[in-house]
Amino acid sequence: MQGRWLLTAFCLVIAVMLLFPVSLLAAGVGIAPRELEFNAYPGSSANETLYVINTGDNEAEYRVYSEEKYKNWFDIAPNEFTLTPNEVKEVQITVSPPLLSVGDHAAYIYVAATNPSPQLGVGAGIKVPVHLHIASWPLYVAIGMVALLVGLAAFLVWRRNRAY
Amino acid sequence: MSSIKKRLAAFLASLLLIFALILTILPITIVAYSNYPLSSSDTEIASALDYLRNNQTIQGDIGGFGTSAWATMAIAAAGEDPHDWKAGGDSIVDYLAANAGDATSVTDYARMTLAIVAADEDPTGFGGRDFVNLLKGQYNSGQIGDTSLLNDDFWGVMGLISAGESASSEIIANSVAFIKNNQNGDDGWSWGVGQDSDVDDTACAVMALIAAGESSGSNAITNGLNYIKSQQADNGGFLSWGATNPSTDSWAIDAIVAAGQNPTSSYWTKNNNIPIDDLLGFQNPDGSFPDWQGNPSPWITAYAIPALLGKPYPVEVLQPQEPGSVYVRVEGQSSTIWSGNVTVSESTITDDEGNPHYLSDPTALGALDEASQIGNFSYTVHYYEGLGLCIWSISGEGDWTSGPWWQYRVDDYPAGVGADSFVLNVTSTPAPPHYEILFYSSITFSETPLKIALNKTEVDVGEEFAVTVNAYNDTTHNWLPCANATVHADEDYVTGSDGTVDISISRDGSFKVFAEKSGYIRSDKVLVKVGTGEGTQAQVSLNANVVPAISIKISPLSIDFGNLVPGRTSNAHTLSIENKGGMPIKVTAQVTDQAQGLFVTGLKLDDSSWESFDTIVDVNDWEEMRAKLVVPLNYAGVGQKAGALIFWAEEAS
Repeated sequence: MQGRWLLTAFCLVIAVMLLFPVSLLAAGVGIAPRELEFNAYPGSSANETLYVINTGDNEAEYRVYSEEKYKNWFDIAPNEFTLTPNEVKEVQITVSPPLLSVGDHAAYIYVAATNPSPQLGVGAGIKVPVHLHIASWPLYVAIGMVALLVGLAAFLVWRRNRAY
Repeated sequence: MSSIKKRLAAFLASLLLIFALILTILPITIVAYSNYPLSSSDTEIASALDYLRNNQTIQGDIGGFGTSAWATMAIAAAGEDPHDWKAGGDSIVDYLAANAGDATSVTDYARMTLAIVAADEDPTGFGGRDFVNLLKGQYNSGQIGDTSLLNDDFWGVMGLISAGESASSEIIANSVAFIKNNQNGDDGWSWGVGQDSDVDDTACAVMALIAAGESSGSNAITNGLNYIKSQQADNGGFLSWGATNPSTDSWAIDAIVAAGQNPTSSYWTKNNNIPIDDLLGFQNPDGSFPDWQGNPSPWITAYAIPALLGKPYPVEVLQPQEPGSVYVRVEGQSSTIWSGNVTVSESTITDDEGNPHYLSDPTALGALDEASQIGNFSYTVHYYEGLGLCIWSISGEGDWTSGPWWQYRVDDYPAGVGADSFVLNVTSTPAPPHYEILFYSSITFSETPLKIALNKTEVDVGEEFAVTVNAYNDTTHNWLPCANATVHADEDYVTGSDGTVDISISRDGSFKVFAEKSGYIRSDKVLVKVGTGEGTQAQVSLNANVVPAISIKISPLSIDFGNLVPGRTSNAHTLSIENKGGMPIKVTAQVTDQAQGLFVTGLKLDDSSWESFDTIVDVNDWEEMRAKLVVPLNYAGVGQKAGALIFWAEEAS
């Protein structure tokens, strides 16, 4: 009697496994907006928000990073996190272009959902285009900065002469 | 004893004398109305309002279409809400909205505008009609309506001023000049150019000029009042065709009050009678005032109430728009991006190349910039030499090369200049003041706006209400019924050939109703409260699923190629890629491993190297591929090997 019950339970488990083969095992990622645009001046910073959603069926680990060339331009927070299915994370992306960076730049931010596996883990990722418009400082700011530097130099010279 | 009798007689005589004096004075004291203006709690006003209320029908009207407008003004002047005036059915405001199409002349448009503003409704969208634009559309040859008539100018000016038109606008300034130029030699005005003066039209002219900002001490006003004074009868009222009547008395009193004078003052007292005495002398016991034939008349009663309350026409005036204060609506291809009121003065717009552009005036583009900050949406502009700043995208939507392109309209008119050059409440066309800027994503450059009008915005569960959809006509600059438009409410409805669809909603809730049709710009949304206004609809809205712009889903999570020997190829494993986002995606693959290059060199997708894998997946579509692992013959590793295969999605160009 007990053997028949065990056989029935076993068949049911097999049947359930056959009904839900791999559909429950999926990795997914979604983002918004579809691209990021920054307008900044050299030495200043600009901030945008990227929303990341787990569109998969399982909890997954997410990593957000920029391409290597612009690695030092970006500050991404948080850059690693875990999301349950349909959970959304708000990621702050701050760009701080260096002083000699005037012009338009195109870069990518990568958002990857990974599944560590002892075999070949399969993950999903999105490349987010980033447009960086780095404008030169307005003339009056440049003049002000030059005037500041000249003033500072004059002060140092005066101070040195005074010391002698 | 005789002394006592004498004293008693003297006392009685004094008493009699005092009584006689009281009797002499009393009639004057009773008739002369010294507490002008009356308040709505005074018996005379309360009974007049009761009379109007008793004449309201279940359809909401009082004495028909025109009289209902006058009654609405009277009700508002008495401090009551015309929306609350119902006789077991629709309110008087509902009635006016449902019959707005009956207005066909300049004076109809003006009267409706005055009534709509008095009812705290929007004269630019009432019953599916824009009465302000209808009035403005009658402007020709420097005046409003028929060039041989003056009364259409009097009421046209009052209507537009009531709707917030600036007194300095071209239409008002020129119409005022037209009115003043046609003041007769006897200092009065007539209904028509070159016709004889009369008190009624002179009173209207005075009210119109005062409403448009004319000084009460100006010659035109002073002389006009002199004419009215010259027509005052001994009973205090004002003559029309040789006798006084409550209509003429009412408008004359209105004009006197509008000019800042007191109709109970000694100047306006004649033969110990003041105009109020004559007007009140016409009031019937049921509170009504009679028409010219002596019959109780809701129409004349509606005239008398504002006059007695000291509230001349226009009884309500919308304040002209603050400079740079407008309603902004941004309509994307698939949804409304933002709508709301903004106030803008100066602005600095940064173009796509990072160059700042200072706009010293409140512009349409400045309004968009302000809206983007309030609404937290992005936009990009590009500077073209000769064109100025052009909108390239809003909230990521728009493509200058292939479209859609962003266009804008001001008060429904397609703007004729760039958004950075359109100065709010200054630039024409359309003529100021400006109320709404509509930015919209265009594909054909020929889309025109839709507008909806509802006969009710608060209904019971299951109660029917009518939604009328009109489309703007860029040629005639008016609104025409739009058939086959989809009206979104609790579900989708389609308008009939008259542009109207009847809707009844069978559950509580607050529903945003709007209309769409291919080739047209989505209408603004109107909130309809059904029953309690709280129901599942709000929950549905809150639970709306916003699809991410780009999304990818991969299954399975891992592949176990099983036991393999060098030189052999594994069985194929099926992988699926699903696009769960809002854009088509281009998918490529990347492999990393910690297995001495086993996966990097040996993984095949659809029998080709993973490095050459490249596919496009449309929205809501999916692709399958077969993954195999080829173990190189000289592969040196053994045991369990791990690696990672990641599919990268990016927006397909």
